[in-house]
Amino acid sequence: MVDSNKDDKLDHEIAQRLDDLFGEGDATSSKSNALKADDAPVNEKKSPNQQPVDADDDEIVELEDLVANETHAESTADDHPLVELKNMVLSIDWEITDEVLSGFLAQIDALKKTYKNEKIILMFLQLLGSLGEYIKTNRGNAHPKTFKILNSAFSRLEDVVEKEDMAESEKKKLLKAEMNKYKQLRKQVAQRKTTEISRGQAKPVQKDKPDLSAPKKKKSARHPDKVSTAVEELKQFIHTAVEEENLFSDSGAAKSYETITEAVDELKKFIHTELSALRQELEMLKKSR
Amino acid sequence: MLSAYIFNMAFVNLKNKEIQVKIVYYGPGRGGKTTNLEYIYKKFRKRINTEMVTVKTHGDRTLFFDFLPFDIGVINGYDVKIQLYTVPGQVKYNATRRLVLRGVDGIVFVADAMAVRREKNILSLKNLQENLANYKKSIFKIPCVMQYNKVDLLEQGIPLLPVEVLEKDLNDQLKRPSFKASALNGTNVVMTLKKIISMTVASIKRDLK
Repeated sequence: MVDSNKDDKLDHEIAQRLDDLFGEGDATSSKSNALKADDAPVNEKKSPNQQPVDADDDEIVELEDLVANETHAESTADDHPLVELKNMVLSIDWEITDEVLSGFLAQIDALKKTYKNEKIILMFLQLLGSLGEYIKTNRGNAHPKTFKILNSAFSRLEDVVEKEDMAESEKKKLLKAEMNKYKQLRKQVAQRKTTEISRGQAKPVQKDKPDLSAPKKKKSARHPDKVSTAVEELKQFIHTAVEEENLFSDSGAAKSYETITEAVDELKKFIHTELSALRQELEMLKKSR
Repeated sequence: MLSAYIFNMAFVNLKNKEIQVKIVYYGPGRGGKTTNLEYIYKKFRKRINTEMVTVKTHGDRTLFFDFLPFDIGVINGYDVKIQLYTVPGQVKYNATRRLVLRGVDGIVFVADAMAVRREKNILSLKNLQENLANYKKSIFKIPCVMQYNKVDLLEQGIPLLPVEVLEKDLNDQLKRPSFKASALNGTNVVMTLKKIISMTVASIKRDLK
């Protein structure tokens, strides 16, 4: 009985202290924002005891038993054409796996067919597809802003698809805003690559004797595969840029030309730097022998 | 004579009569764990007189963890210090999650009430169980509160999981106190916090007996 009284006293003491600290009386900033959600736990009746459920030490219940059957996830797909794509966008946010990215790109392709006559939606899909390809190639090393842009571009696409009464000019405005973000990202990605490459070049030449005991293959950071992947990325960027310019520009041809020139210059510069780095590595290899 | 013990649970300094209670907000990525802490920090920073440490990279994602320490004063003769942590929700950061769980005393499982996140919630709870087991702790024994976050999204027409479904999916076996919440608006953020603190302190007291 004494113990029980002590426990009650402790509970009361804790509750009192927490009320003092976290009472929402004066600190509440926007009660109006709060939902009418109940303050009581949703399962109070079910679990009136605040103490953890007792279980034996060896009671590491099978994982399958812990949660209800997960295969019963109901489809919320309705008939909305973007629901699957939305799932994929949310999944990319959660984790970057081959499965998720392939699903994402497959959805993009499917939607491109559905909206083949809707140029603005097609452009949004093109943009999302480019971002997807870029993430697929670079995974966790993708530029941090990519995920933000992916989310924001998808939200705008949802607006465009869902709000059927939206004026064409408004749709274009939304697309242009996203394209600008994309362009900005493209520049930042190119800059980052250039910086990484120049950092690589600045690496001090290894003067230690090379280990000849094992004829190991040198793992080059500038593997030809990486070069071709990077070139593919740039091609993708160029493609989207050209499409974009065609859509927005009154004098589309002139602007497209400008974009292509800019992109080709970027590409040349990139390939040039890559080749220089390769030459330098070859020199290093020759010297080491 | 040893004056400080690291029990299976909390860090207790008998000499200084101090108890450190570690509470971890766990759950799937983008579920609102950081938002919970941010709400508490923004709203009560003057009262709890502390600083929140957040390590963010990759956009706004929590790469390592958030940390919010505060003192709730002397209870039952012990100075009780609370440390709130979040873990990175993304699957790939499991090593960090496991590290943050070391020495955990109480868990707030922040589930995402969005219908599309149903499976992620389940996977995250399983992951929690596995990671706790790594420290020889049972999810059935550790103080834990379930929070079903983002209920405000219903107003925007976003499909949410009914509470019954969330309960069945996540709390059928555990039978822990659970709250519908909106970390963004602050709904039930404090209730969740109060609940987990009182449950955890009570549990530590039982362990000290």
